[in-house]
Amino acid sequence: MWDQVERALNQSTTQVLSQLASILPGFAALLLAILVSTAIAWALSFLLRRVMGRFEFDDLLRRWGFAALREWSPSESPSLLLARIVFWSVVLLGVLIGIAALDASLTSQLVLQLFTYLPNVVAAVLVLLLGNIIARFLARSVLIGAVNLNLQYARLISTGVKWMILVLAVAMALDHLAIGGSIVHIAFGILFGGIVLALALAVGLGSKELVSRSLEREANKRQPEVEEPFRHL
Amino acid sequence: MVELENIPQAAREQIQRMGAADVVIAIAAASGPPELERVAASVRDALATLATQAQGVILHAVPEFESGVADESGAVRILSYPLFKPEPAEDPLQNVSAARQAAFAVAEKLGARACAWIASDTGSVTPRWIHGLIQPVLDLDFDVVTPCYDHHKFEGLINSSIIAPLTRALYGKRIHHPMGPDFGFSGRSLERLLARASANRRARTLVTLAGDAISAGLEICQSHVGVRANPPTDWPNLSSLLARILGPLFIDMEQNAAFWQRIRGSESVPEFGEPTPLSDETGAVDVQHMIESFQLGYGNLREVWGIVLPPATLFELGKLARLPADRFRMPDDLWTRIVYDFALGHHHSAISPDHLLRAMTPLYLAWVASYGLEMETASLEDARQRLDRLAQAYEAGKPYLLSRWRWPDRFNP
Repeated sequence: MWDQVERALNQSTTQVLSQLASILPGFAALLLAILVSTAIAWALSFLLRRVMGRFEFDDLLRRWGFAALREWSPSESPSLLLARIVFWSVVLLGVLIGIAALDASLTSQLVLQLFTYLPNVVAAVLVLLLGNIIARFLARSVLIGAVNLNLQYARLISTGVKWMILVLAVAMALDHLAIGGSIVHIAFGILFGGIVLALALAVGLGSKELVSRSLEREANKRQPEVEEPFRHL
Repeated sequence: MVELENIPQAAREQIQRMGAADVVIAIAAASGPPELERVAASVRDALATLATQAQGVILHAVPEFESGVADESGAVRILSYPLFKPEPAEDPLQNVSAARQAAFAVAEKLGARACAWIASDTGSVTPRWIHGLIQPVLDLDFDVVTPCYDHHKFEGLINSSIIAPLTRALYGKRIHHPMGPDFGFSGRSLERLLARASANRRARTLVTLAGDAISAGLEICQSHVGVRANPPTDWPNLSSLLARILGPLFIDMEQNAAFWQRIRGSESVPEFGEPTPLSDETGAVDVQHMIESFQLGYGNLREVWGIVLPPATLFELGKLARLPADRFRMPDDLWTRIVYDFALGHHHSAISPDHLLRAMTPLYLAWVASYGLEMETASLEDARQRLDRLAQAYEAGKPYLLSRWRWPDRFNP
């Protein structure tokens, strides 16, 4: 009886050890791949930063009209953002190569699924990024325009515009990622409709004064005007 | 540059038939034949007052007015020319620049010794107006004549508060109306200005001419031409107006930076003609809505202003926003720094140029309100002296502009 237990234990220990021994080189290869890819990634990112620094890439982008990218970059530097993207892409590649050393079939399945899904992720990120830039740009346009028109609720309109575009961008990004399915559509419809209704009510109620003022101005045009002494031209 | 091949066939034939002219007067704003006939009479009278006999050609863009001879002596001829494109461009400044370029090219083809560009309302244009723009070129050999419009103390405020003092501080010439819009040019200046325009990527160089003319080393003078009819203020579109005027001005600053950075101080330029006597305007002015616009701007646009204005300026603006209306005064050095900082923001592309220029409107209104209150009971002469002090403040503040232009990161008070 005791001999049987001992034999069974020896057998399972041998099995575990042999399996561990068979996996160990794979793990070592994974670790090595991560280390090497990290080193390559660091070198590439360092090189990229130096090259972009030499060509004043940040200033070039600003001059080409991509000033909004600064706000979205770490330390307000688009070149740093690009360097980090390159760094993490190379590290990710290293991890995939490392996993291939563990189990080739698993990696090929993983890579296949990843590459099928990757365009959706890229599109979603792009939609979010563009949506944010457009939202900020339009919100600022609306704010400046509304202040110049002397509208007291300028900030409210500007914030409304910004959130409407952001909500639209998030809903589009989720749709691309196939997350949430019809819930996103319904939630977006309710939320967007709610915002539009709220804004319509806010602007409608708030602009009564504006409408009456513009009507008054139209009516006053027919009467002799009080001479305004200021001429800007 | 407009080549002869680009000139419409009918106009080309007319130009070849005309052969040569001493003076070309381009009318940009005429809207119909009666106005053109009145301008033709003014041109004839102006040419008659010159020291030497001169033949003139009026260039206009009124399609229903045929080309031909305008008077019995044949001294004034009319040339119909499509100065402006039938479909308006998105940028009206490109239109103005292209129209000026076309007019200059025709004047060059006709071998004109002088060319006048008149964009003011033709109702204001008198023989004295035309004489003032071409006589210094023909008789005194000047290259560019800028106009001196006579106006009341509360008129021409964008020019008085920004354009004229900024041009004076940058280029060192005390020109009353550097952006015209009416100008006189010599034949040789046309060639140089056209060459600069064709070499210029942004092609706006023919919109703001004074800076280019000074940096090209052209001889400049100014003439008192009379009182210009100014349209009433279109308040809702004031920000568009500001953006339209200040945009080219700031672009010029960038293009001529190498020149103006070497200039220190300022000098007056020769002035011809007599100012038109105007009555003094006195009495209370209502600036409350402008102060409220500024306060609203301070409440909402601080984060936008903060992109271009340093914290010290924002602090000063905060103090100004809290002042009661009767003590509302914007110091000259504060206003000067604001204008310089917006020019710097435009140069460094801190934010979209359109946002930047439009965001300046409440600040400009604060200056107008402050000036209005200060000059409420002042005479015209007092107002002129006041504006001269403002121009001196621009000159005194130029080292600040230079430092931030050259070292934006190192010099940020």
